[in-house]
Amino acid sequence: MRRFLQLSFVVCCSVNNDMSTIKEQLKPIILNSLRITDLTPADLRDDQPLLGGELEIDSIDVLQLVLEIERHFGIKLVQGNFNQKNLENINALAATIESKMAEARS
Amino acid sequence: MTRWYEHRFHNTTALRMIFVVMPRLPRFLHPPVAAVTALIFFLVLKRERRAVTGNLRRVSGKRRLALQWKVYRVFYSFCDLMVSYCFVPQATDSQLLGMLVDSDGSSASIKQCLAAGNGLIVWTGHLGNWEFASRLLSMYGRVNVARVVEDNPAEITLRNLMASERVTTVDLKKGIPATLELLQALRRNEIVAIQGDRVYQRHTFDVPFFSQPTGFPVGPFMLSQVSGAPVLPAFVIRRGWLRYHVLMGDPIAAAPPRDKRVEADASLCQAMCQAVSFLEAALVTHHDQWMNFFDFWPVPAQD
Repeated sequence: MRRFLQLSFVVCCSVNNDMSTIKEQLKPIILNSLRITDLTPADLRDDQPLLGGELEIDSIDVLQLVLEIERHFGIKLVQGNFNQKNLENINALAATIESKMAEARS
Repeated sequence: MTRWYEHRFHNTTALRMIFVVMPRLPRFLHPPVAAVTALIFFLVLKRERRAVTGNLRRVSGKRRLALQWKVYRVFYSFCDLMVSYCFVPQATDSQLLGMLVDSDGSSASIKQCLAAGNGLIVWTGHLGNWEFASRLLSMYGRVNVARVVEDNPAEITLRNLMASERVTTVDLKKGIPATLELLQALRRNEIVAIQGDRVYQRHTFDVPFFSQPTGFPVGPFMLSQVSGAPVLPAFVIRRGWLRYHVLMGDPIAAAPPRDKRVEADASLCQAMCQAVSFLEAALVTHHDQWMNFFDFWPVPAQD
């Protein structure tokens, strides 16, 4: 039981680390794709709404963002059941990227 | 932006009249009926006539009577388009092919583009008969027609008429969901058809078009860049009453992504220039089938 808990803790930490790393990489990509120059990655919250919020993302911005994400992470982001909800905020987008990376690995 | 379908005759009653009368008339009577109808609308729809005159003055270089004749021909071409709604939606593949004249090479080009598995973006315009084009394309796979669907009963009737298992309209008014839908379609190796000669959103590049920097939407080329789908400029031109010819350019490879934004924009712009040049070349010969009934260039018409 103790070993199982230890293992679970390690797995959780590793997933959280992956997510944190993804978010760290994602924030500059978002700013760069949207041509936002007056904000830094540190200004973006993890729950920062991407759609309908102050970033004012439109269709072309989404394409630019998808292009940059796919190039950076080496995944096909928009495929299968991907929809607008996956772009709701940075947390949701990072989780989607994480799961697509896991899919690609397996 | 003033559009053709904003005039008072673009309603379901007028459409019903076309759908009831035209299929019952012998085919040899269609052209004379269209000629008279076109003349009536040419005379009645002054705002649209002025706009087309302004557009064709720049495109054709013609003046006075020769120019007005070309403008009248645009109205006549529009009659052909409207009557084609009576026959094209329910036509079988062989009936559609029977309406084609000299278009042998187009099939191989479409198949070759789709063979790469990244889908295909057909970049067309309001030239000739784009509804016929979407039906033709549906012979090669599922077609997603990207367009702004107006909340107008006549427009909805026409959209419903053209809808089928193989032809879906993706309403660009939906914004981001529409974009994602188109990208997903390309990733399923489907066809996306876009009319690139009208601007509906703020992202445009100014490229030379009849010696004037003109804004064209960047969306189709961006979609191509993300999906890897080639852009195929193509138009279905009228060659006689309900007879058509496919004009197809060379496939434009997806613009390669670049690290620097300036370079990325330049590669998108280069792809757009190729498509726009093809449109310009097609219009030099077929300007009397260019159905943009608003001032394409914001310059007041003087004729």
